[in-house]
Amino acid sequence: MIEFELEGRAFSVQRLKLEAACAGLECLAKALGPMMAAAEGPSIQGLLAGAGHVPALLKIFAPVAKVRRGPDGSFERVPDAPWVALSAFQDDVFAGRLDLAIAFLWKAAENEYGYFLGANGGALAALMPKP
Amino acid sequence: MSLAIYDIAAHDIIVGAIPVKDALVSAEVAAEAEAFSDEVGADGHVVRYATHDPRATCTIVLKGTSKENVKLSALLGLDQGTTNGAGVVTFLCRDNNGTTIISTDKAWIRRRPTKTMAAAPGDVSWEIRLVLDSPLNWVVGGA
Repeated sequence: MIEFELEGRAFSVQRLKLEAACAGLECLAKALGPMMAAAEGPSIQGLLAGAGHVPALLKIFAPVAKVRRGPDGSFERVPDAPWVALSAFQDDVFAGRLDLAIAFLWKAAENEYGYFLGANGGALAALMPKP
Repeated sequence: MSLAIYDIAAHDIIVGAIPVKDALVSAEVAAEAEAFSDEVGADGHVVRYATHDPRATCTIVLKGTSKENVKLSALLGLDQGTTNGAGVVTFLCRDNNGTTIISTDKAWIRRRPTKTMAAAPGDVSWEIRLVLDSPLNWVVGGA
C-alpha cells in the first residue's frame, strides 16, 4: 500500500489484483507510448495525446484507492479525516483538475509497476536480451 | 390571491456533505413518535405527556442509476468500518423557495437499501436516521 499527498489531498492506494495489474500495464503503455516516442522525452503534447486513457486507468486504480474526506466534504488539508473510497468521490476530488488525476495515476502506477519499469527489470531481467 | 411557488429542484438535500441531486425521486422526513402522547384512567382521567423523542427518519428515494448511490454506500461503508462514529454526519433539507428547514449534525444511514436487479433499474430507498434535538431546526414550512 502507498500513501501520498497531492496539494493537500491525502490518498492511499492498495496493490492491484493480477488481472487488474495486467490491464493497467497495457493501458499505461498506450498512454505513455506517445510520450516515450517523442525524441525530446516526455512532453505536454505527449501527455495530452495519452489523456484519453486516463478514465480507463482511473477505473483500474480508483477501486483500490481511498482519499481523506472531511466532515464538510472537503478533501484538502484534512489530515485526521476518515478514509473514504476514492471511486465514490473521484468526480469531486478531481473536478476541474485533470492534472491532479494524472499525478495520482502516475504515483499509483509507479508504486504498482516501479519494481520492473525503469528499474533493473526485476524477475524479467534474466529474460531480457543483453544490451 | 398570490401564487405559491414550489420546485423540488430548489431544495437542498445534503447528507454528510453529499448533495443529493442526481436522479432524486423523493425525500420524506417522518417523526419516529408523537411529540405528545396520552393515557386515560378508568375514570376518564386523561394525562398528556411529552415523549421528548427527537428521532426521525428521512427516506430518500433515488433512481437505481443515481450517482449518489455509490457515495451513500461509501458513507455507510465508512461508518461500518470504523468504531468512532465517523458515519455520524450532518443533514440538511431546506426549501429555498419556502420555509421548510430540517437540519441536524447527528444523522446516519441506518442500513443498506434493497437493490433489485430487473429489466428496469427501479428505485433505491435510503433510510437516514436523524436526531433532531432542536425545534428551530425542524420546521415543516410552506411557501
